Amino acid sequence: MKDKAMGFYFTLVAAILSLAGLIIYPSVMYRLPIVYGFCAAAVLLTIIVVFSSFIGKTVSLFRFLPVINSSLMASAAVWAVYLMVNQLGYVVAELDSKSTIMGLVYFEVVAVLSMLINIVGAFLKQDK
Amino acid sequence: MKGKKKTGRLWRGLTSITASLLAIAVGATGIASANAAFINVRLGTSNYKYVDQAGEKSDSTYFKSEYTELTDLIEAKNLLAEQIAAEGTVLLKNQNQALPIQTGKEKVTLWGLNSHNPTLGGMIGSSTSVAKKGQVAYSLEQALKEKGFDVNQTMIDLYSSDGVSKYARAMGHSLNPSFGPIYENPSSYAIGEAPASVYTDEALSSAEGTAAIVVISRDCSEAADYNPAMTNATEGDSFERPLALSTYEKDMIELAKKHSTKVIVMLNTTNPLEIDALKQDTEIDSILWVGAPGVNGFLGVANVLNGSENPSGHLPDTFAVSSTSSPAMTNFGVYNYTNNSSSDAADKMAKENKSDWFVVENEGIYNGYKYYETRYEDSLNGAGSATTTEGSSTGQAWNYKAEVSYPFGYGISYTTFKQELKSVDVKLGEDSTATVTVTNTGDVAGKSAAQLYVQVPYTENGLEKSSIQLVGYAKTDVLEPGASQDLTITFTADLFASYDENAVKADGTQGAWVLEAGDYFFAVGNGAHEALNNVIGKKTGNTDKLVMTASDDQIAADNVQVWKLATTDMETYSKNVQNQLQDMDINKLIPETAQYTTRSDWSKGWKTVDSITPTKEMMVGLTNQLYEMTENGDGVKWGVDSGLTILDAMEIDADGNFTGVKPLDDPIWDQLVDQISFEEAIQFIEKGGDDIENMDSILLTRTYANDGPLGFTYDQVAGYYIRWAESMSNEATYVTKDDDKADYSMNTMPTAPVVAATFNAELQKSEGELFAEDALWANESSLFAPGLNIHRTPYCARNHEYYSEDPVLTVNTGIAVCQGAEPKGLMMEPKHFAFNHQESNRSGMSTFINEQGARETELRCFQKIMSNNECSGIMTAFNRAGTSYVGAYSNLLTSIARDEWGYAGWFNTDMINGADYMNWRDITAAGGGNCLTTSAYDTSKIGTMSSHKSEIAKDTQFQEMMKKNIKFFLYKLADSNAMNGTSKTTQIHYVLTWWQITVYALDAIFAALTILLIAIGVRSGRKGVNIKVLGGDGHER
Repeated sequence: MKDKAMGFYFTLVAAILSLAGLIIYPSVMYRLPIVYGFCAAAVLLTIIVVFSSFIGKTVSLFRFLPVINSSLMASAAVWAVYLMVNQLGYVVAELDSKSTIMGLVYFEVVAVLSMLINIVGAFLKQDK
Repeated sequence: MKGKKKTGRLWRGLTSITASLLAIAVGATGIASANAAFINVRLGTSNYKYVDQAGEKSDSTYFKSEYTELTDLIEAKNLLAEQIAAEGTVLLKNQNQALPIQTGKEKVTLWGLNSHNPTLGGMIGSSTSVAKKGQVAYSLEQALKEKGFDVNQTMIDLYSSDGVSKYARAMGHSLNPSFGPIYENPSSYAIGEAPASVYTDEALSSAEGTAAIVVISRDCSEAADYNPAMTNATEGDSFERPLALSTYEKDMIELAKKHSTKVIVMLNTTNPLEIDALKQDTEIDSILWVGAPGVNGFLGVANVLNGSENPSGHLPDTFAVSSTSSPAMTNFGVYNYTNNSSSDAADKMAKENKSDWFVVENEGIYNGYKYYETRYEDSLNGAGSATTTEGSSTGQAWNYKAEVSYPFGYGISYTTFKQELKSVDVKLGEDSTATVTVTNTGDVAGKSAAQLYVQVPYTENGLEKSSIQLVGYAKTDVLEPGASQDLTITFTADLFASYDENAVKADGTQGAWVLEAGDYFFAVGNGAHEALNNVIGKKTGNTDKLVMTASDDQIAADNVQVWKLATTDMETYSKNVQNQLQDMDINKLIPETAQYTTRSDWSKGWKTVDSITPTKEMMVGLTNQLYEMTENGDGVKWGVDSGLTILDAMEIDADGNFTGVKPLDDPIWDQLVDQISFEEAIQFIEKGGDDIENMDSILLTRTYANDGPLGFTYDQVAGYYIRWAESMSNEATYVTKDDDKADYSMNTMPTAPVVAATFNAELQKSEGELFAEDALWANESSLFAPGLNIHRTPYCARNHEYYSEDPVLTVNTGIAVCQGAEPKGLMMEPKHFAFNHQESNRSGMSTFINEQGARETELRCFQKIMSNNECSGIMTAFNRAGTSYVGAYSNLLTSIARDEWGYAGWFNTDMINGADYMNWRDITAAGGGNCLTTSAYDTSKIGTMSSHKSEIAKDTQFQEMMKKNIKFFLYKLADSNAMNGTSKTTQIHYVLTWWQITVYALDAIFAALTILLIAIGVRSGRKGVNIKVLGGDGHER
């Protein structure tokens, strides 16, 4: 781990945010199962990379971890909206309270941040 | 080497951007595809292109418009709206002939901030709107000016000023509609009136010598209710109840009295207010009710004010002294089961079942005037403890004068009329008639509505009976002074039959419509009270003790006709009838829970049922266990190609004109249903509640349906042009986007109570005709209207979508509207079937009522329109009937509607707002129809219909119900404007719209860029370092 560069730590932070997304998503009013999958995949891939580096094994694909994770979190962010379109409409039309979409808002913030940090991390060195 | 590494990171970074954008684009495409119909409506695009195989278009306009120009239709609608508002205006008081106002001589001052911000319509389903350009929503100020009134501009300017307008309701509304659950009653309401301190000396002096028109207003909305315990949200203002006058309103009225030559109070509300003080106040010259008149309605009201139109409307609801004095108010509001989902109960309910709430409609048949008038007669007779203090709004012995300000059906004119009930000819099982001669005995021309009431024989402690009930009405033409007209009122005796749950018929079944032997007193009168007084006068020969509601009440005991029934009849109107709603009676589920109102003892029925712990049996419905999918039967056939199209079910005469469809028992309907595929059927049912889904296998095109009772609403249909595809541009009613009326809103008509108050079936029919014309010009096929739920209390903020507290006025008005619309191809979809009487927690709420009350009050609002098949469809409600969701309540949908009434139209749910209780499984199995789906549908624990295909395929019984339900749709669709534009040589092609091409192109671009960048990145990596397998330390080398 000592050999890891700034880019890796960005990816790690992004993965922690993905984990946060996984925890927050159940609070969204209408949920799509695949969103859990996107977040979980981002977390899992990161764990595998970290674990691999501990045991001294890795493959080139892992250099693309921030690319994959940014895509996964982008997917999570957008598909989380899929079942909430009507609810967003109700809130915009003041037919339902804002509290009904706050779970989605929090999730979107976390997912988008994770995606952006992954993108930044992708531009940076992963290893020293 | 270092440069190569940097290059690699650059490619990787860029790849992460394009890959993320690709992911977003793909997701956005999915969302856009799922909502394509909505987006198409907003953008004026369509996925369907009509291509005629014959090369040139054959005549496929089966329903034709009577208008050649859209402008003419809009003008006709504006004029009709004006006329309905004029005839729906009800004059309640007019001393010293304060009205009409002489516009050439008198100047008027509009008083009250709500005169500047009046309520025109509701919110959501019955909202009003106008296009940004060209179309006008007439405020009272504009309407009066246009009709030649000299209006005090100083007062208008005062109300427009910043210091005053801050008190105003935005657009005449301050109710807060909500689709979400609530566990407490709504707490506050802003009247929107300004304090007396805002009136400057300049404003007050400007009013001197002018006639005051004081506007008292309350707004209305779907998904909202008033509550007696509300506080006034307007800072500094207060009221005892939201439907009572507020301090600011009273202060403003005092100022108006002080600074004006006369005071005319205008009630701009669809919820009856407490106005007895105004009625008794001799300084208030006139009171008139205008309801919420829509965007052109104030022009009609202005016509009444200036006398160009003589008022002829009558109240659709009782104006009680206290808005909370009826037994129905004993149980109105938010009541939670003890084990609701927010409770700590061990067996608490699941939120998704939306089963937390209930309401007990303890009033039984004594709704509205049927309570006040029946108790009135009993109070005169000393019967049933009618004068007990229980239910008295004063706390003293109950007496009518202290309870009712203006009775149901009341309304006066600038002239006087004499109505003579000449004859009544009752024929059981057939149409009955009454003849009324109406004579204008005054000196002003005007119309008069004859209201026919009946008192049926009542035995003390026997079957509950109202002392008086409306059975029919008719309206004269404009009668010149001295002129007479004979009116024939047609009615059927089932309208005054009583439902006896204990009756046992000849076939041994229990429950029947009963006409008991005895004298039936038919009377006409200016409202229910005057009619009852006439009956009492006839029966007793004594009018001394009778209570008048106004000085112009006339008691004409000889103006009553008596029909004698020798023996009790419980068979004529009881074919296929037996008790079906016993599980709606809470006392049958949990004995002695509710105390129903009874005229045998008026001290009973005032107990609030605020807590119920459901039994195990009740939890079955509350947890949606209504139908279980099983493997049964030999299966059913789908996709059996008979070479038919839905057009084959249409009858076309030798001249090529459409004349109707084949009868429902013709085998073609089953053949058509057999021809559609299993997948089409599932799609049709689970997605067809809003836009009606296409079924290509039988050449059924996708067609459109929308709210609401005021016309197609703007929030769902942006204008006349919006549903058209360019490929349909050769249709006679095609509207192009650049038409100067293309954006015009269609939801412009007066609200439902105003339409009912006209008591004019011809006007109501005309409204239906113009709804159908709108449908032709907007390419819509079904309208979620009319609203037929009963006005149970004044506190339901959605009463503006429903006609009246009386079921006969409700159903007859609904029939008239449908009779205008249906023959012109518009499928009317009355709502909300049934028992939707409050908006608070409407979703999933258990409604309890005894069967007699359910059938004689609420279901009577629907029965005739459905049994006569006057409408194509019916929208079910959000609530439960007892513990079963109404849209999946087979006793109601199948046993009553189909088997008893012979209803041959379709059912459709309201918007799925809780898909676990409004689920496709129970709906279909119970004989329901399509689901008006939302996101909630896709996330239910029960799951979507399409995800249960394999289970459905094994359940023969269920599939047979699917077919049966769809057949009713096909039967009505073939007889509607949905067929316009389609002929046997038509092919319907699915096409991509420009926005779909754009999103797919973005997907492709991002995908290509991502692949390219990955390829470049990999290539650059290969050239730079060995990156395929890194060293054991994982370093980039």
